[in-house]
Amino acid sequence: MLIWLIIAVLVGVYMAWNIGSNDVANSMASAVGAKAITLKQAIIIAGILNFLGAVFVGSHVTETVRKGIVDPSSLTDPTIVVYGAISALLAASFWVTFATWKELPVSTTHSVVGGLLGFGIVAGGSINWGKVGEITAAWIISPIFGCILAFTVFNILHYAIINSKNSIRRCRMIAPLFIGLAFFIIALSFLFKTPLGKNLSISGLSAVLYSGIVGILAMIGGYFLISRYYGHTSDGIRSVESTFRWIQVFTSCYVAFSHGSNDVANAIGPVATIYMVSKTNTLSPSVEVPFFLLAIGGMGIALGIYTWGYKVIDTVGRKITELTNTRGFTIDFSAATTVLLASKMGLPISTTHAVVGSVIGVGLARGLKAIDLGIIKNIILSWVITLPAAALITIFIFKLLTYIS
Amino acid sequence: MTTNPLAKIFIRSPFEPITKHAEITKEAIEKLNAAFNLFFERDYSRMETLCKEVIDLETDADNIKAKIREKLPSGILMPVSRGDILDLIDHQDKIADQAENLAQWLLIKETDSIPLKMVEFMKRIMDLNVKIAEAYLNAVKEFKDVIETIFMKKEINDVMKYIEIVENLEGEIDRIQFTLRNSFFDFKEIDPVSLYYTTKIIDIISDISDKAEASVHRLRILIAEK
Repeated sequence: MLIWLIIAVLVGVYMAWNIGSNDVANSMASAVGAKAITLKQAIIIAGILNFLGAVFVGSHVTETVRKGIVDPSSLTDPTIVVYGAISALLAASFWVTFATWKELPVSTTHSVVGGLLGFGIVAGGSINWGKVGEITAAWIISPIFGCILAFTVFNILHYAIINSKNSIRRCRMIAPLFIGLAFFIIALSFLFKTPLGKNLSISGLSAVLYSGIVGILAMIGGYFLISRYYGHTSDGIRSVESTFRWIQVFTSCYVAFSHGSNDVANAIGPVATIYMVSKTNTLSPSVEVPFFLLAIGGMGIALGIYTWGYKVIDTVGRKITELTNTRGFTIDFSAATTVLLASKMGLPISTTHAVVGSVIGVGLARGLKAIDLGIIKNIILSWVITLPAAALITIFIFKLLTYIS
Repeated sequence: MTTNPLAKIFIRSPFEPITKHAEITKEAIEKLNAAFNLFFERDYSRMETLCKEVIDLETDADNIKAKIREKLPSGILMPVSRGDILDLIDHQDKIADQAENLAQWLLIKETDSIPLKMVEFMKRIMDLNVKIAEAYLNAVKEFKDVIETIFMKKEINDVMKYIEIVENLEGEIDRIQFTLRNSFFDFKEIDPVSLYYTTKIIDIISDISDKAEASVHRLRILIAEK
């Protein structure tokens, strides 16, 4: 058992490294492209905030990946569960590596879910189809939600601030609302139904209340900072953009935090299954995912960013310099909100798809000069290929493992 | 890394190349005007150089047009309709086409075939064409700002201002053309080939302004896409 646990942790770290090196760029590049933060700052922000998101909010999705898709209690033999989880993890990491090499558009989320489905199929009838249905719905809804949110936010920014006669004053009034809202959602994600919330013995209702206070304080703080330091040029549009350039530092933290909270599960979920089964030798222990596993995942993601991801952030950032600060802000805010909400609901989704949805939302609000909607085909393709591929590889590895032993 | 969805979703916008195309068009018209004056001064060697430059500029403009079309896939999302943009570039390109056309006719170097009384009118039309090309370029530049500011009223008004300048100048050319047409019957003794040469050149120089007017009408449609 111990040997499997060691292998699982290593492969889990490798998956986390993959997330850090390939996927983080999609959440950080818009802030770099809009020149709100430098590449160096992006790397620091992405590393720290992905880690924090993974550790503090990563447990919900990890729980889903651990026992939501394949219910371990429906199986009889703990060894089968360990083999299944390790097969799914190996298959997902193999598929992600292959796809990166072949330059195919895949998401780690879909790879892991596909792997787990393969495990469920081969182990026999233990798939929680209700949960799978929820996840599939989330894959469709999350880009659309991001799109609608971005469309709305950008129209508010454009018509209420930029296009108004007194854009500088309007900006001072409206921009803090978004800061407050972001802080409210982040605070809520920390406190609402989390281990931290339980430790502080905060109930659901008071979590909302406390988060509301945090949000209002952030809003007031934002208001004073903006009116003191930003938007003092006579050119309305430039003042608004420079204000949002500063706010983008926060939203890039927000998006990195959300990313960590959702994607750490792809690396750590199967590891958690193996850890818990091997430790307790029961099929479905009801304890929470241990903190240190999430921390390992978070560190793996950070490692991926520092060793390889910075290059991808740089490349993508250079390609999207057309983004202004209000546009970059809108994309980050909408994508981060989408992803964080999904994380809180325990739904593994693709951050990249949420970002793409948000970009299209700004495009539909006529905020972007030219975007290629052919990307939607890519997204659908990435599912259609990844789910069966990861499932088949998992089945193969699983058969191999049970045959050898 | 090239498959990164975020890097792929942002594609090059056509608005910068359209401005570049209008800049080339303006340059071609200016060179053409200089060539036109040299044609009447019978300074053919300098005229020839300029005419060849005009022909080269038209090739450049054609290449830009081809590239814009190539880079506008059917799945593109822009603030304005793809069809209207393709329509604009189509019409805009015809201005440079006519400039090249005139350069070819000037290269025949039959200055003597043109009745002296008509020369001043023709030079006036060409002068106005230079002004039209300038105003047109400004209209296109302002149109780019309209896109960037997402149809801000002030920017739309700026485009309108230049559109009206183009339309007024074109009207002026129409009136000169009218006078010219009436005066044809003063030259009943002119030989048919010379008459053909003269009318051809008059037609082309007025056509330049017609094409510019057709292009500003496309701009009108584009800025009306609220």
